[in-house]
Amino acid sequence: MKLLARFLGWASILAFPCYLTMKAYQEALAALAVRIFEIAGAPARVGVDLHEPFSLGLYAAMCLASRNAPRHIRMRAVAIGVPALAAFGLLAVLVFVVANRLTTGHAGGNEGAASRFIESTLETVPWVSAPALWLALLGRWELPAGVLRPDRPPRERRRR
Amino acid sequence: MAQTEGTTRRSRTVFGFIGRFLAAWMAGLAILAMVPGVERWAIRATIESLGIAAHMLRVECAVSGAYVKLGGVNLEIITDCTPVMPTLALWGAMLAFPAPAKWKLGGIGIGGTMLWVYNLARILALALVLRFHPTWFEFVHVYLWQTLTLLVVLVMFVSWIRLLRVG
Repeated sequence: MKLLARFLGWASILAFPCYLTMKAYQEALAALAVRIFEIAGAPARVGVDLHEPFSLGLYAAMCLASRNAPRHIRMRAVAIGVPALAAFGLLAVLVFVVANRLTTGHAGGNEGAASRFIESTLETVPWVSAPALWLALLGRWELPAGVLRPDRPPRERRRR
Repeated sequence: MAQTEGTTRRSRTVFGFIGRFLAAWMAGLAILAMVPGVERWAIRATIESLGIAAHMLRVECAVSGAYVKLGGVNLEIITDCTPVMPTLALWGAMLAFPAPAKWKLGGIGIGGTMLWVYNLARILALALVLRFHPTWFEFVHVYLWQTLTLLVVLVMFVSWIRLLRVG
């Protein structure tokens, strides 16, 4: 729980710069996606309306809140993870456009199930990518030993 | 050598959990996409719950379709205003975690209920901010939705694991 309390503190501090850079970051993400599509010979108009770069702030907060991992491991996790998440966000936008074009012919999709699934997946990328990456890079230090081991059964209740 | 084997084994276990969680997550998103009635129900139920909560708190509330007027502030309730996504995240994590079925069912039921209540509190707080400090609304909206909601989901999941290990 102390880890989560530290996470809340760091996340609250980092929320401000994330909010202040939100518009510029999303415009840059869209511009980069447009450029990539132009280079690929498939121009597209792309607008990004995700809560980014909040996932980068969340991830950094989780790393900074971690105490069990050695300092150099935590710093390495931040140095690797933040750009990786940014790149993953760009990839998600590109996949969103390509997947919609393949399923509906339109970069923005339509009201069909396939488009809804693609849109939901894109919108939830920030939700899952930060905790998942933290778990992958720092989980083995921060989680108690054996907490995720499937062969360890819960303690049996004492029978009266 | 034993330490390396232990670290490798723990890494495999972590990645196994992440893989199962992602599978559950994608399955949940697929169900939501194929059954749009779920989101429509969640929006209706959120609006009705807001009405009940407003009545209990003696706050003025008027409903018109997907719009709710809370304390003089107009809010449009869309899918993002429902706890569907954080609930999906919590349920996915609980289903991916190695635990007896009845613990998972209990966690899913109680966790889903607690997230519903949290979401109502979040919307009421946002209405307050919009009423008294509208310039803060956008920041608080993103902060509450992303940061605090993720923290609430993590606290619930960690608490459930702790109860599981004690029980």
